[in-house]
Amino acid sequence: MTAGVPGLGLSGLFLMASILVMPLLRRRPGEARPARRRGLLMLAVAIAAATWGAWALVAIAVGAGRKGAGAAGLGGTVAGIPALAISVAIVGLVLAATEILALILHPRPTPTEPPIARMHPTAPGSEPAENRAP
Amino acid sequence: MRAGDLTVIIPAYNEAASVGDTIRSLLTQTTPPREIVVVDDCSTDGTGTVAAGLGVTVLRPETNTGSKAGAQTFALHHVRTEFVMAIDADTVLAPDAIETLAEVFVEPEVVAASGHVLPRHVSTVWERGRYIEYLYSFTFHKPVQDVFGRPLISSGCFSMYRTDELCAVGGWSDRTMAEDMDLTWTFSERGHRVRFVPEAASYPIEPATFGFLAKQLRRWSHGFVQNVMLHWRGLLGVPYLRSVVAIGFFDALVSPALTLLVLPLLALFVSPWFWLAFVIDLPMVALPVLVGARRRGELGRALVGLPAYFVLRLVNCWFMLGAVTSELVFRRRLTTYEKGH
Repeated sequence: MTAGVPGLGLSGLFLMASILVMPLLRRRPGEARPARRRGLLMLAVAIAAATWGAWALVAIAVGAGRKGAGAAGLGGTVAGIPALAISVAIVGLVLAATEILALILHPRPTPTEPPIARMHPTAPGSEPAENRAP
Repeated sequence: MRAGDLTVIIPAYNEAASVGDTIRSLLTQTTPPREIVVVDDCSTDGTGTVAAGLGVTVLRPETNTGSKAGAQTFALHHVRTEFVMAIDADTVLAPDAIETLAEVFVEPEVVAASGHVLPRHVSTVWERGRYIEYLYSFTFHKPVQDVFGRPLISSGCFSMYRTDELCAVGGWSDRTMAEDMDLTWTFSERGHRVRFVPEAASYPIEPATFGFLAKQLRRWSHGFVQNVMLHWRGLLGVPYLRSVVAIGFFDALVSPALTLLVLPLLALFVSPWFWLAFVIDLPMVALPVLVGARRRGELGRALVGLPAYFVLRLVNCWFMLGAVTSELVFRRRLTTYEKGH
């Protein structure tokens, strides 16, 4: 389910940053076609361009309507700071806090349920012994 | 995966209307499973009879197991194959889905894999919203997570596992409302690889009405918060996944209040231009959706569905707000599994 802040786009921004980092990653064994990475990179570039265009349109529209209505805080800035810079700062702070926590606190594996003893493999067609439906 | 090394588990509670389609889609796979096990979780609508009529194994616990996780783990005790797959009783697969998904298990460190998910029926506003949500996620988010080797979740409606590794962690746990997320994060903490295979397609029935949708979203939102509370210390040892979860959790904490309260107030009392904030990320959503839809030849359906996505997102925020408030502020855990498709 998607429950991100519209306009702030933290998850989207993190995803775009991840895509920018992808060329630096070694290809993993079994990873799908290299074309997929290129496709994602091209998609990210297109999204960045389209998002910039959308904000530019909003800025123009708000600028045109500013005479008649109080529109402080819009047009791509909040209190004079670009919305993108605010989003980048928030993402950076969250990621930095996570990395600091990972350094300070020793990761502790989450306990699991008790292991399940496996049945011995048997010939195909053999049937389980219990609780058959009528 | 060698042919015949797979058992499919289908947990089912009152799924007589849909389980037949699920079984038939498994029987006609290019690589059919060795065994199909339907867990008839004390249904009252003849689910077990429908399944038995199609020649598959039907297990019926003495009492209802209380959750999908419980039903699946009940059946896990009977699995003798090297691989096991879980599929919902309202889900059908593309004919080559199993064969395609199984290919990634050539790598020995891969213990779980899931495929692409799209709603089978797309007509109501909720189904249309979900269609866009899935296209966005499975075209953009999941492939990126897969490149980093850490998908956020191996979808519970269609996932394959190495049986030994699944048994080693006790199967599917019902300690949270999102057993698939719990399992995925458990594997990641243990250093195992989980893969996402977009070419393997599955089609579940998604909630068509708000009543069913509400039950599903309540489970998912509470499940996410519960899993963060359960796994956070372990996730700190998993690079990238910890970042994905941290950003998602921060979003879950702040976005509902901002979206449902702050933005409307700003729009009402400061400037109506703030209404635009609800759709300003349209390019971010629409481009991956249209790319994914074009590959499937479903551009028209995607364009029609886009507005529904923005409605669904508001509903998602409402349920996430409820989950965060309940689980973190009032410490009231959701423990009753309500089926919502």
